Amino acid sequence: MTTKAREDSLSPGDYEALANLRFALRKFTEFSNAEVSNLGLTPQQHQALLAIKGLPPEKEMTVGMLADRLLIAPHSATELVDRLADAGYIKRVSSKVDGRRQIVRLMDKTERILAKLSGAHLHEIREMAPELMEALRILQDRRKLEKIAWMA
Amino acid sequence: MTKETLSGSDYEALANLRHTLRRFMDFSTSAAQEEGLPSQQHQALLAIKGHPEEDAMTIGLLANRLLIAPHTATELVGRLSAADLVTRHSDPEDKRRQTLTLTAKADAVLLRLSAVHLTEIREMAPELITILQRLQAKVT
Repeated sequence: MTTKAREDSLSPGDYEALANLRFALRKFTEFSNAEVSNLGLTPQQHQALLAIKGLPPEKEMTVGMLADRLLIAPHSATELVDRLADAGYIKRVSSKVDGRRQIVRLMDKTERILAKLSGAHLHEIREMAPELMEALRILQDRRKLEKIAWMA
Repeated sequence: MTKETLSGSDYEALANLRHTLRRFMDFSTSAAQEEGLPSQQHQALLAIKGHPEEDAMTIGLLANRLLIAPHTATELVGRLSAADLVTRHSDPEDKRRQTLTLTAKADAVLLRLSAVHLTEIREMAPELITILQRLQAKVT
């Protein structure tokens, strides 16, 4: 795991692709944050609503699952759900499967907001996708990558 | 922009995309932190290193690449310079214009960070490409 051995493993093109990848992701995040705040939501609130909406139909969203999906602490998820419920975006209901379990559900107005936001995001993602996939392809399509993965 | 109705699986793909990106950002932030670098400083070093060699990196360009205000970029470069990670050179043709290069110390840190990032990206790439293709394919 010496620096010397790794030194030969990254070309200027690799650094360029890494930098381009991050630039594309930054632009996407900026776009997303601006769109979301235009509709009066914080990025984290939007991500919570999207996580609920994006759940496969057979699943129900609990606060614990939401914490997992957003990579936040359970108590942060609880606070987030409280704020979203207070603002009328979601409601807490009992699970039909297990009545003791509390799940969260989107309100009608939230469905409309998400449809609007997600349409705009889809458009932006399609713009960004070629750039992102090109960077991923450069970074992925390398034998030496095997070597790096193996050394790291 | 075409009006299209999003299906349940479009929302699922969008949510999965963001989950994948969050995991990557979390990984990246902790990897940089382990090297003692705030995330933004890491991104600045990468932007300088990843800049095509033909033209020099300047504070203005760095601000553009990081999507931050010029004065924020100036402060950032000041901190990087104080930490012996970046060197500023005055342009002989335009004294107000400063170009930026990495120090040997920054090169070494960035090499370690980039190697672990490549490993992580390689793991994430197939999933990310599948989601992007899924979201792209729906153009009607």
